This record gives sequence, C-alpha cells and structure tokens, in this order.
Amino acid sequence: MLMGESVFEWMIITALILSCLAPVVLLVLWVKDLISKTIW
Amino acid sequence: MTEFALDTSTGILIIVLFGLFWIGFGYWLGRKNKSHEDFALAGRNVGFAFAAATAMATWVTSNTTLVAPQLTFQFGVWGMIGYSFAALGLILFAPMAKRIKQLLPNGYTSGDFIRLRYGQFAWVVFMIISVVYAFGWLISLGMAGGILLESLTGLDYHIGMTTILVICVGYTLFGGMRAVIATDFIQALIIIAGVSFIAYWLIDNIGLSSIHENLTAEHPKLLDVLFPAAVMFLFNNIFFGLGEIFHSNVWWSRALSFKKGVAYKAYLTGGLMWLPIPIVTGFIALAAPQLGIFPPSMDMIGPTVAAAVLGKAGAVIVFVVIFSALASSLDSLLAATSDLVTQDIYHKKLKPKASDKNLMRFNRSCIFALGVITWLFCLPKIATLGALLNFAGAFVASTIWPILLGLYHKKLTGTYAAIAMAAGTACGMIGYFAIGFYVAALVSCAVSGLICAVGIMTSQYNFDWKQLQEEDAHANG
Repeated sequence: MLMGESVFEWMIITALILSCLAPVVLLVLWVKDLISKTIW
Repeated sequence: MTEFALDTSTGILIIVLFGLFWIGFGYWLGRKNKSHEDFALAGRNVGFAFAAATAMATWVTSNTTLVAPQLTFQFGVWGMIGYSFAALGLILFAPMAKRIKQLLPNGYTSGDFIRLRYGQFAWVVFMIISVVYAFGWLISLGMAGGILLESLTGLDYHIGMTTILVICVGYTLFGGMRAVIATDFIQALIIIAGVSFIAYWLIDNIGLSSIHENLTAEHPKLLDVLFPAAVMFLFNNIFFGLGEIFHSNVWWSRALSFKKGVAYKAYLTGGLMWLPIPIVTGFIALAAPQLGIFPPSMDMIGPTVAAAVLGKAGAVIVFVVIFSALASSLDSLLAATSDLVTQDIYHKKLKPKASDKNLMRFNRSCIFALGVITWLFCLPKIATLGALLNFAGAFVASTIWPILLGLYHKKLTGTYAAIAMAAGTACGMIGYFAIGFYVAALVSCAVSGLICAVGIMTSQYNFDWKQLQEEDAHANG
C-alpha cells in the first residue's frame, strides 16, 4: 500500500512549518531569559 | 558527483573561520569557570532557552543530517518517520530529568546513580556499555566530519576528520559545559534554519507532487507503508533512541546542570522541536531519484542532493549545517564522557581526596585524551555511519529498563540490573548478526525487560532513596 499524495504533502509541509517555528521559539526564550537575567 | 561542490580552498577557509570562532568563544566562556562544578556542569545554573536548545541540538547529530536521509533512501517514508520517533527519547526523558534532579541534587553523572542505586557489579557493566557507546558515537562523529569534508571539497578524509576533532576538543577544553551549551544554542539555530531552507527550496523548485509522482512510478517501495523491514526499523529506532538518552551521561549531566524547575520543560521542548527534523532531512533524500543522484556512499545522499540542486551556495549551507550538527554532539560527548571518567573513576575510585583544582585538571586531560583516542580509531574508515550507529543499539537498549526501574521502583536489585544489561546486550548483538541491524535494539530491550520483570517479581528488596542523597551530600562535603 503506497502513501497517498495528499498525506505525503501534508506530512512534509507540517514538518517544515514546525521546524521553521523552532528557531523563533528558541530566540523568544533567549530574549525572555536575557530580560529576566536567567540565561545562566 | 564527479566534481566537488566546493573547491578545497573554500572548504578550508570556512573551517578555519569556524574553528577560530568556536575556540575563541569557548575560551571567552571558559573565563567564568572558577570550580570543577562550573567546568563540568556550568554551575548547575543553565536557563530554559539554553537548556531547550542544547537538548535539541545535541540530539541533532551527524546521524540526523547524514543517516536519516540514508535510511529514508533505504526504507522510504518509514525511514524518516522512524527516525523522527527518536524524539520520544527526549520527550520521555523530560519527567526522568526532573526525577534525577530531585534524587541527586548534587550528583554529577549517570554512573554515580548506577553505583549508588545498584552497587559495583551493575556499575561495571554499565560503565562498559557507556564507554563502548560513547566511543561508537564519538568515532561515528569523527568519521562523519572527514567524510563530509572529503565529499564536499575533496579535502583528504584524514585532514578533515583531524580538523573537526581539533576544533571541538579545543573549545570544550577551554570552556567546559558552559561552552558546550552556549555553542549548542547557536548551532541549533544554524541547523534548523539550514535544513528548512534546503527543503523549502526543493519544494519550491521541484514540487512535492512531482517528487511523489516520480517515486510512485520509479521507486514505489519508498512510499510503501507496509514495508516490513521498515516497520521493524521504526520500532527498533524508538528503543535505540530511548536507550541512548536514558543511559548516557550526555543527558544526565545536562539535567544536572539545568536550573531548578527547568529540566522537565527543556527536554520536552527540545524533543518537540527535534521531532520534524528527520522528516525534513529525510525528504531531501526522496528527491534524489528524480534528480538522477545516486552517490557512491549512501551516507552522503542528503548533502549530495542539496549541493546538486543549490550549487555552491547549497554546498556551503550543507557544510555549515553538518559541521554544526557534528560539533554540537561531539562537544557534548567529549564533555560528558570526560565527566564520567573524572567523577566515577578518578574521583570515586582512584583519588577520593582530589582537590577541586586537580579534578578540573584531570577533566581537561581526559577531554584531550578522548580526542586523541577517537582520532586513532577514526584513522581507518571502519564502517558506514549507519552500521556503526546501529551496532551500538544492542548495548544501549539493554539499559532502558534498569535505568527506568532504578529511578522509579524500589524492588529491582543490582544483580538483576547487571544481568539484564549484560544479557540484553549479548542477545541484541546476536540479533544484529543473525537477523539484521534493525532488530538489535528491539531484542536487547526485550531480553533486558524480561530479566528485570523476573527480578522484580522474585524480589524482597526495598531500596531506600535516601541512600542516593546521603552519599551525594558526603561526596560534596
């Protein structure tokens, strides 16, 4: 049984969106830690 | 690829600039290290942003960037989905990290825990597994560095491998855990941005429909959702990932270095951020057949596709991303393994009265020695990265149940824990050679679990959790 085109597309696009969000999350957390002086 | 994507001088220039930056940064961060605790555990004060980034970046290794595309090319969609399930290791480690911080507030290593919870016999078995795994991973990373430079720039394997090792040993030596974690943060940003850009470019220029169409017509196996070996691989990879994370001091030392209340959310966030990455890197490999790319070494399928479609710019991106992925894991492993040797063997067994200064000096010597030993093992290219990686699966998966039950259950004794780890490893290796690499971790975990179950059912023993803290407090004066 082969994976359908729409499932394939959804899987790749969702993974790409989630991986694009990760640097944003990390930078927001870093700025938050920087402001609250809790980086280290 | 008959011609190299980057000329050798460009490759050397990038690596020299990178090397100078990371070593300089490590040195700058290392100035804050006043004690061995600062050096080994960043003063136990790492905040949420750095904690989440280091969890994620350390788990993105050369394997995620090189082996995930390779496995996708072998097992199709299950290759990348199976690989992404390794995120479960980080996610399930989140509550364990919280528990570790509670049980061992002043602890240093995973070996510390095994020795106090299970005694000498189990500690010896555990240390053997840990060391074999650490070297397997270190060697696979060192080899990946050499292969990467050779494939992209034509630079001799031995020179590339040596250079990457020198850079990582250099900044870890100067900065300790603080440098490892801070560089991981930057490397995490580089890795995610790089792989996302390459995948986006492929979608934009070749198209998902076109790739799917080509696979359906020419390589239907790669889209088969009922590919038996691939489904087996998925489960094997889950247990392999769990074993790697649950036992390795790389993850324990991080949990112990995070600020109070940070460990749980950092590992959870790191795991969720890591989850889509193997799918993105694996997808890059699925475009290979359509582009007519069949590299001589399957490890290089991802980088070759990226370099072929994006040209020189793509090769530079691939180079920087994989270098960051390698460095973020290599530094962590160097630091965590040297902590394990310094704390568990040197401090606890050989020199119990060693001063803080002595411990720091020994720890640094250990990082250097590990670098040299890894370099020696990397000199001959002994196996493909995937084979080397999966061989270690037989070892680490045997530790899953003893670690888990050791943290949460009072009944398992040291003898059963040791037998479970030893027998699990032995049976996993038999599975590796008799059936295939994709069952090594599965067999190892199953046998170890069975022995632990017998151990618990027949046990009258009740471990007192306070024993972990009493020794802990004593050891730290």
